[in-house]
Formats: sequence, C-alpha cells, structure tokens
Amino acid sequence: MFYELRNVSKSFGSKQVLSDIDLEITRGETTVVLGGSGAGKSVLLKLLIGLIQPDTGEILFEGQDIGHLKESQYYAVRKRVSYLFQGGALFDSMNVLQNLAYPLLAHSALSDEEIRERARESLEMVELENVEHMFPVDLSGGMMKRVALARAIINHPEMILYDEPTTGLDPLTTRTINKLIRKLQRELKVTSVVVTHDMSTADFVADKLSFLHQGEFAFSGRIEEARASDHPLLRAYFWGGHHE
Amino acid sequence: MLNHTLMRLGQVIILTAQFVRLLFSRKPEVRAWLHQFYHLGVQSLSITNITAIFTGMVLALQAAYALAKLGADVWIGDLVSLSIVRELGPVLSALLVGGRVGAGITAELGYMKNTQQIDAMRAMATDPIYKLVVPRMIACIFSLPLLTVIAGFLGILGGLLLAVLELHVDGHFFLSSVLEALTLNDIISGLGKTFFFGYFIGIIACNNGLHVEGGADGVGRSTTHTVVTTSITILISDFFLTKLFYLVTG
Repeated sequence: MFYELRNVSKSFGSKQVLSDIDLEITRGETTVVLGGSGAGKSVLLKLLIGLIQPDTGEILFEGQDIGHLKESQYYAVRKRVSYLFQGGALFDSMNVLQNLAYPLLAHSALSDEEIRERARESLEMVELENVEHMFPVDLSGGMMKRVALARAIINHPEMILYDEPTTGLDPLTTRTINKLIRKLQRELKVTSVVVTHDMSTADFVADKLSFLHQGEFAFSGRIEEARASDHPLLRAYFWGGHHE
Repeated sequence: MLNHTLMRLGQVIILTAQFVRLLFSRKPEVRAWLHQFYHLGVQSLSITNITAIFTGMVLALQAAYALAKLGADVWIGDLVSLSIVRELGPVLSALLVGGRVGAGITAELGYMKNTQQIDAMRAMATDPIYKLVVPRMIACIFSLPLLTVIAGFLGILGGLLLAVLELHVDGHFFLSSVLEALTLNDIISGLGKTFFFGYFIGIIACNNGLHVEGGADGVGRSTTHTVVTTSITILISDFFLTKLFYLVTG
C-alpha cells in the first residue's frame, strides 16, 4: 500500500471537516475523491503531504506515519509526491520556463540546457509548445492548469495529487485535462489522487472512487461498484436528478 | 487587542529566529538578494532623495529665520548637517521606505498566500521563508543605510543650495561648518539606527504578508497594518536607539 489513512480527523475551530476517515491508495492506480464544495476534499489532499496536520489518526506513507513530522521532514515525501493546485499556483513573477525550472533548480544539479530540455519535454507531455516565455497572467485557465501540470511532472514524481483539476474549465478543455491525467498514469506510471466534484472527470479517470459527504466517506470502492451503488446522493452525482 | 498584539509579537520573534537560522545555515541566493536590493533599495532612491533635498532646504530656511533673531545665523550649516545626519535623514528615509517597501512586501506575500503560491513552494519541498523572507530582509536591512547615506549628502546639499542662493551665505563657509560640526559619532548614531529600522520594516512587512487572512480585503487590511505598525515602531524605537547610541558613542 502506497498511502493509508487510519481514523483521520481534522477540524478548524469548531468546524469538523474530516471525521474519522480511512482511505487506502494503491500504487499505480487513480483514486478519485468525490464530494461537494466544502466537503473537505482539499483538506484531505493537504494532509497527504503535510501542508496541514491531522488532529487525530495516522497517515501512513509506505507504512511510516507522517502525520506529525517537522516541516523539513516532509521534504522527502514532497520530492516524490507532486501537488496540482486548484488555481495552478504558478508564480506570477516568473515566466513559464522559470516556473518549470523552480523544482529542478531546488533539487537537482542540472545545467541550464538540461533544464530547458526537461521543461520542453514536460510541456510536450501536456501538449503545449512555445509558451516558455509567457507569464501566467497571459495564459488562459486551461493553459495555466496544463503548465501547472507540466511543473508537477517535471521532477518525475511517483504520485500526483490533483486538486479540482477541471473546475472552471469549458467541456473541451476538461476533456483534454481528463485525457492528460489518464495519459500520465499510463505513460509515467504515476499514482494519482484526484479530488473533484466534476462527474465527467471522476468517471473518466477513476480506478477507485471514494465519496466524501459531511466529513465521512459515504462510499469507497471500484469505479464500477460506484456506478452501481444505490447511495442516493452518489446516484445523483452519477445519473443526475434530485436527491431526496 | 492585547492578545492579537502578543500573537503578532510571537510571530515576529519566531520569524526572526527562522530568518537568522536560514541566513547562516544555507548557501546565500545572491541573485535573489540582488533582485530585492534593486526592487526595494534602488527603486526607493527617488522618493528618499527628493524628500532629503527639500528637507535640507526647509531646515536651512527655518534655521535662518530662527537663528537670525539670535544673531547666530552662522550656525546654519551645523544645524542642517546635524539634524539631517543624526535624525531626519535616518527617520524620514525609514518612514518613506517603510511605507513604500513595507506595503509592497505585505501585499505581494499576502497575494502569494491567497493564491496558494506559498503552499506551492512548500509542496515542492522548498522553504518559503528562505525563498521569500530572507532576500527581502537582507535588502531592507542593508539598503536602508545606503539610502540614508545618499539622503544625508543630498539633504546637506539642499541646505547648501538654499543658504547660498536665498540667504547669500558663503558656500565654503557653509561646507566648512558642516565638516567641523559632524563627528564620527554622529554618523555612527545616524547610520546605526537605520539597520534596526530596516529590520523592523522587513520583519513586520513579511510577517503581515505571510499571515494574511481573507481575500483582497485581508490583503488591504494587512498592508495598512504594516504601514501603521512600521511607522509607529520606527518613531518609538528612534527614541530608544538614539539614547542607546548616545550611551555607546558618548
């Protein structure tokens, strides 16, 4: 097991966001965490790489509890696990090439030429070219997500955490991003966790699906099982209609 | 209110400790430091210089009227130079830089926090304090004394221009009285304070930026807070630092 969450709870002030949740993430698979806005999906992702820490419970990374490490002790995990932020979180003051170079300059001794080559490869992987000298402010929403994805894969991570990768994008760009997530899993063999409330994304990329509702997992299983589930709210997500 | 102030003070102490630890334990990112020097220091030259020239001129004018009544207008050069070097140069430069640079740092870091750019740095196994705070602190601490030196020269030049052109004081006499009046202790006291002022500006601005809460509204509030807090801190600390330097330099 790559990651395992056991009885994890997290609250902010008096608001309980996650309550006693369990989750298993298998190497090489794509796990989708589905849930409405404010369900705690992003909190769950942040817990996985220590951007926030759980109140109780264990977060096991290859069997080792990483729930309460010091900031610098998370670096070993974060070098292997990339995070795609909802808004991209590209650095405004840097152009695309500098954004892509950032993790390489921090953690490798590559030459400028090698960095340029790696950046070109990453951009090619997300089907972008000739954008190296553009600044984030000049990119469309879809391009920004793809550049952020290129930055996330440039260090060849073992795992990528996607925070709402298709939110706010038009249907065609959403399809492109969905295909990219699948392509990265297939070609780079990365393990993925995708949090989303977009059913087209969940249905397209998921091997496993966990449905987060009111801070707890109301369903966890293979995507085929999710489609056949009789959980009323999950059915509403899959097939539309009103939840009674 | 008291709780909030104590919390801020605690944050500033922790951030200072992190800054010092990172400064001496990591390889310096000289390019980032120089970039901030340009951004925070060089680009502040115009406002500090214009202020210094006109402050020197106003001082000379005021001194001329006041000293003439006492028949002591020969002391204009002394009064202008001592006021500029010991007090007005450092304090006015710090207040102006605190307003311009401090507000800019808080707004920039606050925006980065709101758009998850700081989380992104952490997620890529890098330290935002090292990447963002250290270069800005270094630039604040070391550019303010340089700005003050230039402001000091220009303030005295402003006084000289006014004394010569308007009050018809002999230029050589003005300059020789400036050189006679100023001692090394005056320069040490004036410049010494600016290192502390630079530290206050940098640490308050960075801390407020890193702890922004809320969206654009929160950034606005933190930016205002930075300008107010740095101004008050500079003015209050100026009194104690002046006393300290009098004690040290005599």
